[in-house]
Amino acid sequence: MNHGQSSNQAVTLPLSQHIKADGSVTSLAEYQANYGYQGLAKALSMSPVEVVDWVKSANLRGRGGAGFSAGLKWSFVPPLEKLPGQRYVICNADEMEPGTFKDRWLMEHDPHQLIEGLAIAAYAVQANTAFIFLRADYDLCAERLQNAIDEALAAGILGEQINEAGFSLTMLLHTSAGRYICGEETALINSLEGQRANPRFKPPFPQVSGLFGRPTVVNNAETLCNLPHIMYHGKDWFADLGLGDDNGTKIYGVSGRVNNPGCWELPIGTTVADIIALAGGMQDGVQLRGFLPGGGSTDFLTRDHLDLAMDYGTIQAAGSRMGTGTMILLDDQTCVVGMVLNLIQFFAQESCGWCTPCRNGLPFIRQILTDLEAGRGEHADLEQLLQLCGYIGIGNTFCALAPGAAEPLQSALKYFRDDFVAHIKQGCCPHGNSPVVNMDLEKEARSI
Amino acid sequence: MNATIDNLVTIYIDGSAYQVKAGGHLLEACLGLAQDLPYFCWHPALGSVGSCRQCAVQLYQDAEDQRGRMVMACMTPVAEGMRVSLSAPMASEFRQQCIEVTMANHPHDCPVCEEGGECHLQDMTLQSGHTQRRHKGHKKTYHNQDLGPCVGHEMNRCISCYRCVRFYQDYAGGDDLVVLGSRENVYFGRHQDGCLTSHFSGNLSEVCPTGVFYDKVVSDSYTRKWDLQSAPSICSHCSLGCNLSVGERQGQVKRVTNRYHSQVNGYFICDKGRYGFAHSNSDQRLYQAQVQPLGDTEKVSCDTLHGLDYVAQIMTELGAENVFGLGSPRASVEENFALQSLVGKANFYAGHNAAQGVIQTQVLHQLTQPNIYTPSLKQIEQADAIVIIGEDLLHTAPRMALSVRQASRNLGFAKAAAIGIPKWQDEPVRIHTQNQLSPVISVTSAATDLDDISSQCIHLAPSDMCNFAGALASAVEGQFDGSGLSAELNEQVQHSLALLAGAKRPLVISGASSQSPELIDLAAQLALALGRQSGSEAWLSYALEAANSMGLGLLNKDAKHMDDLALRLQQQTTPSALIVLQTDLFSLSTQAQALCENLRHLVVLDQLPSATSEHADVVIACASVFETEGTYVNNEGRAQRFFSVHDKLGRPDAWRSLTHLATMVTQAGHRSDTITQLASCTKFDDLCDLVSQQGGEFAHWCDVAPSAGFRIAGMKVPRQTHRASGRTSLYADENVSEAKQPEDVDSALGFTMEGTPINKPSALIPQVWSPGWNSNEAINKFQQEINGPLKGGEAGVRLLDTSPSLPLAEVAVIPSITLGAGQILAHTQNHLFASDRVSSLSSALKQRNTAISARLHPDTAAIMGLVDGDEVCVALAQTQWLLPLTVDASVAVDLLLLPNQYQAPISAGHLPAAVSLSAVTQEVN
Repeated sequence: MNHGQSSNQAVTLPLSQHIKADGSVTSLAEYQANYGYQGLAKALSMSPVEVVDWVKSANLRGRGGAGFSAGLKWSFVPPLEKLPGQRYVICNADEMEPGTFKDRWLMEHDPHQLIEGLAIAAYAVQANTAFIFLRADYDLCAERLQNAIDEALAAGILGEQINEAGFSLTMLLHTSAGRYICGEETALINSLEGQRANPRFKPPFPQVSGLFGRPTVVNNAETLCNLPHIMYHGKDWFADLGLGDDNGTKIYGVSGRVNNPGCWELPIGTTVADIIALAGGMQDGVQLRGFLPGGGSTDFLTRDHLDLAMDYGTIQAAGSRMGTGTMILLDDQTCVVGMVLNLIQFFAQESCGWCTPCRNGLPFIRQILTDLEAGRGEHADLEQLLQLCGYIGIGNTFCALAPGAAEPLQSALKYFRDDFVAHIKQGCCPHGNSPVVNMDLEKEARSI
Repeated sequence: MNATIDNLVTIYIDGSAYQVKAGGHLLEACLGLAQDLPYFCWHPALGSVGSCRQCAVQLYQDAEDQRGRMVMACMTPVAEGMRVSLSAPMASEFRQQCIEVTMANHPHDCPVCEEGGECHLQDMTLQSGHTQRRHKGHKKTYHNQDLGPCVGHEMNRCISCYRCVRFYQDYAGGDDLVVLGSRENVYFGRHQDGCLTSHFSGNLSEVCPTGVFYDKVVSDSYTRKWDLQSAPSICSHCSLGCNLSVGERQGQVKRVTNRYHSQVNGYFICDKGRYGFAHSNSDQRLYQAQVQPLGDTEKVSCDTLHGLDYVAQIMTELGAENVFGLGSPRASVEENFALQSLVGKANFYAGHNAAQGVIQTQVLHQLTQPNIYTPSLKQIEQADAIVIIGEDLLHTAPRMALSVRQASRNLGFAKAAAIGIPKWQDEPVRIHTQNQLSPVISVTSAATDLDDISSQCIHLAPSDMCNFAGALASAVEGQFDGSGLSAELNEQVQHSLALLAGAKRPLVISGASSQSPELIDLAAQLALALGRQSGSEAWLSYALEAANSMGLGLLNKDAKHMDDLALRLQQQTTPSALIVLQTDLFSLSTQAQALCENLRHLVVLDQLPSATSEHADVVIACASVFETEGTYVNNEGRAQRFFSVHDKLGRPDAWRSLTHLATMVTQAGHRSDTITQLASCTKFDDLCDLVSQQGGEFAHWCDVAPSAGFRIAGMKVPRQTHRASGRTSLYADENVSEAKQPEDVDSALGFTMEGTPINKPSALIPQVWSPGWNSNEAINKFQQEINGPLKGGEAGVRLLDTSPSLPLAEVAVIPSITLGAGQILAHTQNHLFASDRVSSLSSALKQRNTAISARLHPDTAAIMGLVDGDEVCVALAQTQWLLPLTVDASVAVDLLLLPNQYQAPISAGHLPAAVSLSAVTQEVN
């Protein structure tokens, strides 16, 4: 793990600089000792428009998966003069992407960094209320974030009139009830309102009509954590951190059969091979076959792509997405059919049930994969799986959940088709797997 | 088409150019152009949500673009020059796949499904081209709930289109039907078994595209939908005149469904309209005439002609001047007119009490004032501020309550439009506007079901209601200084004034159930004041007592009513007879008994027995509304025709009986003009001609619906579907020889399946069907545009629009009620499922007739020493009524509300009145 440097000038891995080896949380005093909350102070001394422009020029791309420019996103909020009244910012900390645990790492160890970033975002769009929408299972994060909010409030960093212009900010922690779909920003907003967590139709975008029909900005936790440093060090410093076209650093993660799974802050654009090397390489006796570069809803890449830089453009050009930057590795001892079945099962279970392709298409795919894994598959199934991947693909569904779910499957059929065929020919799983479909869910479905 | 070029855009569908209305979406445009494009979640009244993904089309950037991208038609606004393809392989394959995954869990119980044969899912499946099931897994099964006597539940058939909850919650304001669960496991039902509470729950069976929510009453005596013989009808249960399609098989009315009328009911009717038809099949029906000769103690049955002959003898014997007629606001214009012609205008009285008589002349006077306009239900939905005074709409004019609910959303629509969200984008509109509603001010005697959308709810006793209305009218005119009003009421007036300040299209609603002519007048004053404030016509709507109150009022402009008749009979020195048309005197007045005693003969024409028919010495059995034809004039003055659905009883039309009587009396030497004219009528059209000859509001009577001679391609309009089966064996249990199809000389409808199912005039559409569209969704093939008028035009004629201002009739002033010692003012609390004789025969509705209790404000109860749950005795004159007491904080103080229950000792016709109220002491055993 990285340990932060103490000299401001030499900061190259800003997000993790406060994270301590013993896993304890950074206190307010510790945080402030190293330019903590000075980025916010700087922002508060500027006009909100200047802050938006500052961040826009730094080209901070959203770290939640889509990679959209954070500053640009803010700039869609109508100016206060044009649309007076309440507006909101929300930190999306509902981290549930399979294989992803980067936000948790940041929030558990350095909650003030997120609070500062969220406060900067709130000021930029003139929101007097900010929410942290936190994944239900992140109990330790919840505890530490709430303590940190209380600390900041007691210290006068948050609360009434925190700058000369009289800007006030209330920050509220909301722990989610636990659905993957709540990570979709409009479903998150519905959930926060107390509605069913179904995504909303866009337009209108949340920046115009979001939480309670008011202008709302939703940013990922890691994205927000970058803001204090960008405000403090400036855009040029930020641009220099990245290795390729993208700016800044990225929290990369690795899971799968490696020796040292975990996550690390690295310059954005570090190669896949370097990241896997940091994870201690593959365990003895297993070979790397492929990997999902950015979590469970990105396309497989293979050994041929190990030298690629992990940045938005490069990974996209290779036919996948950088997503959350937390990769899941597939090795030669693991059944690829079983792996995609597991993922499809997850996405089918997490569908909100609103649109047909996702609600009914994913269970349809799950059925075929279950049959394949159990050795009951037919050759025609492969054709149908590809058809179904197209059916639930991008643009066809109400939100991005189902298209994301299709990505590992469609790429598995492209790169590892032989595995599927072997299941059909041998009439069983070559790896000896039996289907891992959650039978409890099936049972529940029948009993309701 | 009157649309100007400005609001039309040109779009290209599969290469052909079409002009469509700007501002709409592609699905609406395609369906409006008679294209076939499948859909589930979109509903013309509920708007678009984009959940089912079934209406995918390919959209191209320009003429060069060959690839295009797929969009959902329902979510895509039309734009000038837009190029789309419905047949592009990508989109059509996608639509097919949507059906494939949807059908993965759908049971193949079509042969026994309530929806079978008129199933939107069946139609869309065929339309999409999906034919081969590939899914190998099990189908999901669900627990079904008991949702009460009206709506059945079969969740296995659900395709999760979300229409049910969107209608039930979002459109109709219900709160006990919800979506539960998630993923493939969404469940549409209640939190637990129990009767659906919404008074519009029956619409679920029409809104549901498959058989999840079905009409349980139909299911109980199941008939295949294509075997129903249907006719267009008009609801007889309230004054709004909702259009119905009524289906019959083997002489039994089997079901009632909504019949689209763009200005009246649109796509929805209330549960009373849908389930209140059982009276027609009731074993209590009168099927034969009954005569009790003077001196006999019992009536003997005879055929109708024999009975009529007896009546003719009475008329001849007593002399025309001694025979009186009592018409009914529940009977058609033609029936009332025939009775009026028979007894003469001077001897014709309306079958309602004094208050209703005064109200009727007030209503006609106000609605024909030059600067007052009474809107249709569709127009009510355009109001941006509504004041409801003294009417619990959900129980007296339910469909209007639904329109008010839609109108309350106008502020939200405007707010959404300001950021470019069109009205049909249902979810974004709701999200953006949250709970902001256009002002609805509800002034009633207790809480109502519209309180949830009302900006201001005021619960007042009748006299305070008048004070409030008067004060508000003056205040709007800037002429109110607060004097004479309590501080509290004054504050309410100021609040209302502020709410109404910016209204551009204000509407005042009041009605007859207040029994207060003064309130009718004050409502008009308020409407005029608001009209002047907004610089537009004053919009005013009254909910009236019954289906044809307006029609009877127009026939009886001097507003003579039952109390007048009672007085006249008292003064009568010679023996007299009264012919009563479909009215129960005893529910109208406490004086009924005395009135009957002043008569030598009482003749009743009715379909059901009543206290009055018990007293009568002649009873002539009549057709129900489903067995005859006639015209009702609704509360906005719209004359609408209904037709007989079946001929099983041999057409005992009341109007025909009356023309027969006229003939018999004429033959006996009677020669008055009106009787002679009536006697000359042999067919319904003759009677309509006679009505139109009355001129005035009736001048265009023949335009209400096509006459019996109307033909399409030489054929009548068929009541039966072209798929009807078993026609020749239907009555084989009675007679094996094939019966000739009955002829219908009274309408352009035939009792056969011969004829064209399309291109029908709007008043003559028994059921909707179009090739490939077997469900009620076929309505899109009959509309000029989605949500627009039918291709055959708006059915019916609005009579008051061209009418000169009608003067107030000279009527006796109703004495004000004085409270004696220990007395309290009692008024009516209406209940949709309880209030009348006809719907009380529907067992489904009977089970939903709840809340039979007297209601009092807690303060009033405390003063009287009563507590919630007490058994109380309400005494009015000689009548006593024992019923439980409910203490309810929403009831106005010093007011006792009594439920309007059919056959209760005290009925709405007796109220308001001063009553005494006491607790019934419990006997201790």
